Amino acid sequence: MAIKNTFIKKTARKEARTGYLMIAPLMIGLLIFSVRSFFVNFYYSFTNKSAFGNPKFIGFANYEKLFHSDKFYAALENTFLYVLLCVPFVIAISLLLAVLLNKGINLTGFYRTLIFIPAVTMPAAIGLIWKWILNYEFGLLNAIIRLLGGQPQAWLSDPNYVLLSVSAVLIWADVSLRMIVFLAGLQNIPKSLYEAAEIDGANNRTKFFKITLPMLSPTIFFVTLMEIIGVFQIFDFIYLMIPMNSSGMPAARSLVSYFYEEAFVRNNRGYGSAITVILFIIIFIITMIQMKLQKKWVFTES
Amino acid sequence: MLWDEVQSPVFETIIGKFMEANPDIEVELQLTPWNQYWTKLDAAAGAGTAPDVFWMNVFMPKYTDAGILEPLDSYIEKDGLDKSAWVPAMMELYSDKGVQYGMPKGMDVVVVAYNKGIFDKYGVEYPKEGWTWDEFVAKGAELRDKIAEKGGEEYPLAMEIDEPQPSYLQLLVQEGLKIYSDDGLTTDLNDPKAVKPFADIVKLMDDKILPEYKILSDTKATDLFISEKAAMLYVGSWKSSVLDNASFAKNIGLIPMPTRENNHCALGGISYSMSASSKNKEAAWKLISYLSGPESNRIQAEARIEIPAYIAVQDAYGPTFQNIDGSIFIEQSKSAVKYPVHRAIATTTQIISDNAAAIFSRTVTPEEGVAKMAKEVQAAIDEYNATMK
Repeated sequence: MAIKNTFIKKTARKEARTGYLMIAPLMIGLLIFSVRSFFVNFYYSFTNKSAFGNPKFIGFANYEKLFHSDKFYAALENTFLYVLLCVPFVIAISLLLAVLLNKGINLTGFYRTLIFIPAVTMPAAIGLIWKWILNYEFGLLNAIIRLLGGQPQAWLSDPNYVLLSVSAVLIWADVSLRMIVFLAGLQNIPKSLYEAAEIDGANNRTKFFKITLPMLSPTIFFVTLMEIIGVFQIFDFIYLMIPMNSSGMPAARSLVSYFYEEAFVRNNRGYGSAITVILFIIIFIITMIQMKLQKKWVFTES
Repeated sequence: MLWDEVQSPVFETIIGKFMEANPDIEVELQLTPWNQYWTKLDAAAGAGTAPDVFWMNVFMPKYTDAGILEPLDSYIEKDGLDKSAWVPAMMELYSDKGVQYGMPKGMDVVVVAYNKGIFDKYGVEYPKEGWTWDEFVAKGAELRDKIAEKGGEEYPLAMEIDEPQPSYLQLLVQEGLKIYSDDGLTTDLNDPKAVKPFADIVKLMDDKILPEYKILSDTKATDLFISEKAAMLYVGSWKSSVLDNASFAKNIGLIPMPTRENNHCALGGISYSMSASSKNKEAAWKLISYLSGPESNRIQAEARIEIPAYIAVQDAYGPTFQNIDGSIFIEQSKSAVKYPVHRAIATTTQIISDNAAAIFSRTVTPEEGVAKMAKEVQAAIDEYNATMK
């Protein structure tokens, strides 16, 4: 017995060592570029770090300034609006598309391509194309509106529309990737469940709500979590489509856009760090709440 | 390192010539777009790895205070260069507390361009040199009425009010304001006269002479003009080759800006600066001295990318324009004043554009906006002076 135990221990230790060796490249990268940066950033948020020179410790001054800044509250509000607007639409549309595709509904290659294109396109390309589509003077959308006799709008610089426009582009861009995850989830649901339900005389609606949704709930949970975190960090499309001095910017600026402007345009690195710390706390709290809530609605087989 | 992709090919030529004459010096040209230029320069300078020679603009005091720029006086003296060979306002712009930190590359002026085709189409007379602001507004109103009469879609006027230099900054200077006092301690934006330029621009939008700010922040004013959607344009000389290459370039007229209190132009421009941590200062100086010298100035003038700051070769600018009359730029530069600068200009420029954007989007009235602008600029100046003590 004893001999066998040490043998197992030895192999286990050896296996563990190989394991650690395998993940080492990733872990070292993470430690240097994520974990270390996280703490450095946290430290900078208590300093007056600017472009050059050594940062000086200034306590909570950055946070105090932050909580007295109208721009910060506007960016906070915009960010929450993005999350409330984008996440439900992304989840609903990508789920719907995944169910349709999974049913084997005969979409031609053309439509399949249309659906998958955003997933393989760089955000920079998406942003620039949509910037042109939504342009007031030369944009495709306004050209169509004019043709139909409607009133053209400044989609990207009118404060009343800009948040909707950015959200629409984000939803369009995010749907396809989320859909692929849903599709994989759907294909893991055993066919036998549906067959059994059919024998019991269940219709399509019942099958969807009683089988598909519960069986898919872990995937829905995962996708929602990732999407919420993603939308909280919205930056690229705003940066690409709306110039900093645009009349649309105040209504479009997200927390990350605000961070970028402060840290990299105005060189208030310390103040910028404080913004990201606040964003981290918000995302952390919301993720914690979701982790708690998921026990109530996410179905696990065990 | 430079930021302008339009000028980059010309610089390849210039640097090629430099290396031919100095076979022992190897120069590598680095193009970094404007959007990333300052971020990259700051990062590299912070790490002590800035390029040996780079373009510098009016943000310079930030870099001299950080000790990143090499003082050039000893080099100028050693070579026996005569500083008066360059336009004085430009030499002055790149000296700080009496020390020269940059050699002028060229200068930027702003003039008004107009599309003769649109003027003819609606039977409006071309503007005449020596015009006043009121005549300019009247011209805009006449265009607006005649365009509306015939159901046209052009805008009478376009102005890049999303940037200070080709728009309200000039109007502020033309009110006789200095923006920053000579001692660098105060701003005169709290002068009642500072409201007028902003109120006038808002009035142009109210009167439907200038398109709304949401349209101008969506499409650059110059792009509206180049696509023949606007009859007149306040335009910087740095866009001159774009104008000259337009399909309707033969129809583009240029004229100095209309006179308010005066029609002075705030003269901007770029300089060449040397990194204080350069390992090759002698070679770097040779390059700077060549780049700011007559031959390089002539090549840039002939390529229509820059009005020479080197006075002796200014004649080279103008004749090479195929369509537009480049001499107007030189003419406007003669009544020019030094660009308003302050040690905290990187911060104050941002404050000014933020508040200007709020005024033009009509979230605040010009009075409120300028009052807030003046207060914040003064606060930024005070804060800067306090930290530098």
